[in-house]
Amino acid sequence: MLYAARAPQPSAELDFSLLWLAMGLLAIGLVMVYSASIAIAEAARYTITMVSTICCGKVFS
Amino acid sequence: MGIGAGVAAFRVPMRVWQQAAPYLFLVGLLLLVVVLIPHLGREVNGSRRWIPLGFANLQPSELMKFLAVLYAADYTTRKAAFMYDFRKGFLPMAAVMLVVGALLLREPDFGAFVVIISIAMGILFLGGLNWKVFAALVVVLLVGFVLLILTSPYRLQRVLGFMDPFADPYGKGYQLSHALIAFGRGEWLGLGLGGSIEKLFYLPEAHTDFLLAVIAEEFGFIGVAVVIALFGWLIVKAFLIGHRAAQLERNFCALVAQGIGIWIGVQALINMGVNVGLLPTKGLTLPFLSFGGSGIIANCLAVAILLRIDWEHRQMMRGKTF
Repeated sequence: MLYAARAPQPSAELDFSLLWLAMGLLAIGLVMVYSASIAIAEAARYTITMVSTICCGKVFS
Repeated sequence: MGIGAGVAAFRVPMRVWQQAAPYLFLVGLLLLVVVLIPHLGREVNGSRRWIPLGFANLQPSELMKFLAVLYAADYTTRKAAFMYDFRKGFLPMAAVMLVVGALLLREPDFGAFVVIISIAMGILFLGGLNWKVFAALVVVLLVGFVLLILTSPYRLQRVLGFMDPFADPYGKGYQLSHALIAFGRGEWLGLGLGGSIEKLFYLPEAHTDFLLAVIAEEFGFIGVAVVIALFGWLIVKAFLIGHRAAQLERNFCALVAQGIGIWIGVQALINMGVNVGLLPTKGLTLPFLSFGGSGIIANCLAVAILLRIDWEHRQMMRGKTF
């Protein structure tokens, strides 16, 4: 309580710098995970498209 | 989901977190047992770490890091009078951590084990554990880790691979050699967002364990320095909040805040060490950044708790009591 009496009252309700810091790290992570994994996702999509096209071709030919 | 979990966690008073800590820890232990049960736990690349929930996979070891912080802080606060007593202060916590360690090593998840042990030891030390016991514990743990590495062929392979990755660049040193190539290619300013070549099937786990290598390749030394600075700032913030809690004689809150600082710091340090070849490959993600739902949720919970502790301090300074 001594500390509370001496310390100046904070103006904000919340430590917004900590909040923005965490949000910033999450945003960097989101962009980088997208950047690092998009090639794998695209490759998987093309593989599915290719296999389904071949299957359709075999069925309808 | 992470932000939602964080908002929910922020609304819970720290008093309630303290009361719930032992029960939450028991739930965490139960999940660590469940993940080992065949057909319930999901195995990927030889590790059984995930519980499929249908819409997502839960990784109990990630949540356990958060629960270990709460439990260790509550334990240290309750046993504050016995912190100089090896039998009453240290041994019960060591027994609990041995159980957690045994379950984690059964998965196996050596990285999570190292992080959780670091959290528990750090909180015990900050809580006033006798320094002689602490020093002896460090020696015992170091010997234990060396034995664990020597008795497991896959861990030994990882250690040998990290010492000279280019000796076997297509085998043991494959991941690390490509991570180092990514760092080298990035130079000072990087190749720009999307410019990484290593992420195109050369570097395995580019979106999880080796995300920093992709950041290094695309944003260079400057990008990595910014990431390190952000983590440094977060850890300093956690310790400052903990320091203020200690001044207000809120020991549980102080240890929780400092425990979160230790957790984020140790995990980020190990991940960065692995990426630059200073530490053997561990399978640890970079907090907040790497892919992994359970990890992100646990990280969001940690920040929400930090914000809650700080918010309660601000309210106390306005005369409110908790």
